[in-house]
Amino acid sequence: MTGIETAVRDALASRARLSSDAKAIGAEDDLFDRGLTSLMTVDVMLALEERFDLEFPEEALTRNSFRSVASLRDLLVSLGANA
Amino acid sequence: MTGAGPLAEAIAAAASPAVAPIEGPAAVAAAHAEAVDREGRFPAEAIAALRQAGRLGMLVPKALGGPGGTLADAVRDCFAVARGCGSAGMVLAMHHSQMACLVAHAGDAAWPREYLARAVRDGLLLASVTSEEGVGGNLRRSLCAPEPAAADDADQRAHLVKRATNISYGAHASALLLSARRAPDAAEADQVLWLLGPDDYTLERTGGWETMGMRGTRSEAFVVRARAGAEQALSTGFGSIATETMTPVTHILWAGLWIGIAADALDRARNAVKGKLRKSGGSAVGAPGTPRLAAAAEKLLAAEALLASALRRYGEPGSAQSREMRPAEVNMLKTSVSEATLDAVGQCLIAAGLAGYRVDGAHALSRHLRDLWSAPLMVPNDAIRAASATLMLGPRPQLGRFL
Ligand SMILES: Cc1cc2nc3c(=O)[nH]c(=O)nc-3n(C[C@H](O)[C@H](O)[C@H](O)COP(=O)(O)OP(=O)(O)OC[C@H]3O[C@@H](n4cnc5c(N)ncnc54)[C@H](O)[C@@H]3O)c2cc1C
Repeated sequence: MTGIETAVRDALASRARLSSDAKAIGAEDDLFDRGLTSLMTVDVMLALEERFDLEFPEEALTRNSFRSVASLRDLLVSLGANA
Repeated sequence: MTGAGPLAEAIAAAASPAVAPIEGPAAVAAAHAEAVDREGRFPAEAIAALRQAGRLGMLVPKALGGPGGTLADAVRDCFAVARGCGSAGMVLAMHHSQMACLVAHAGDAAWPREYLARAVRDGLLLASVTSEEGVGGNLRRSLCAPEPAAADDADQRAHLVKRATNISYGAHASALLLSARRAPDAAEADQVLWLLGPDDYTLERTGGWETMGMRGTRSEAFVVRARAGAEQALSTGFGSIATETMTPVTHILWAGLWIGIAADALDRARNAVKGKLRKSGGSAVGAPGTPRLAAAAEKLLAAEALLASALRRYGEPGSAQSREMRPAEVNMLKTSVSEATLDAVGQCLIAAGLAGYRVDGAHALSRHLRDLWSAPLMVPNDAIRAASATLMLGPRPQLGRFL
């Protein structure tokens, strides 16, 4: 597991109330089906922006970006995040 | 999972059909509106007329035997029916919002597809069971969960028991869409939507519906007891269904019906003001009441523009576009139109004066006001505004999109 993916899981564990342990969730599992809400995505975004000192561009703020651990990891990689 | 199945794609691809106007059922709704309100009874005549005219299956795609109507077609029907009877308009809107969830999220699953085909054939009415004792109006929380059948039970379908605080037209529906936690150990927001057919459930009425308005919706409290097979749970989680389809479609349809109620109020107030002026032989220039009529119209035109823009942003249930509509914009459509229509009818009442304040006669506005007071309460605007506030730090509102 990459450092970025670990950070994504940390952010989900601290900022979202999911029905399963964010550390154990499948990378491709649908987070919205695990209890993630639009409101929680805002706090997850804030935590990740702060952790990697970057800003999610407007066009990345879609439901698909937040749909899974993998989609968040890929987004962060594409934004040049350094673990 | 991405939510879009062949069904949803078919809908998105279908050209908007030339859907005939709905005058017949709308006139029936209007003719019985007073009795429905006074007696607090289900608008049976209006719903029968809608069924007869094939309007209940509006959103079902052609591939399943429906007319393949668009969301805009359904909104127009809700507007027209609510212009005659707010309760009938609300029943139609609730039904369409539930049907939209099935159309958008049935995917390839046989059970919901068969239900949709049958619903078109038989004009079945589908009700919503999201509310539950102990969770208030929050759609994204459930307490109940399916319990497996006992090992020695000949019927191996799961047991579901839900104590619903409100099920609109529950006693008159043929089927239910019911939200529940995924399993007994799942979190409250980890929910699944169950489609329960006519033979799958019983209702025990536990509370009545003696309300100020929307009396014909008969939104009583019931304990729902159901037996359902695993195939009756939609495969898309309720979290996605609620955000992508149920909430936006419900708010869009509600906006249409609320504007319909207010449009009839504006007609009544105009007639009252005009009638008085004709009797007195006065001029329309500076005539009493007319500034209030203009204020009401101004609010309603703005509300309608907001609804039209929401329809454009959202597209069709199940489409890729629909999944990306900003939740804050969906919320703001609801809070804004619910209050604008109520304000507008208040202006109409002042314009009409005592003719509108009377509870009888052609200019009476009591029913319109009482029906519309449900708008800010059904899913409380204060709660929705609290959510919108948080979302302000997420994606920014898409201003300039249509300029
Ligand atoms: C006409 C009508 C038809 C209905 N039909 C159905 C149906 O078919 N199926 C169904 O399941 N339900 C139905 N409902 C019920 C509906 O889904 C909600 O459950 C109901 O509107 C919640 O009302 P409540 O006052 O009990 O809300 P509650 O959520 O209990 O709120 C009570 C109060 O708390 C405030 N509040 C709550 N949360 C917050 C917050 N986060 N921030 C600030 N303030 C807050 C509210 O503003 C309100 O003042 C219907 C309701 C109506 C009016």
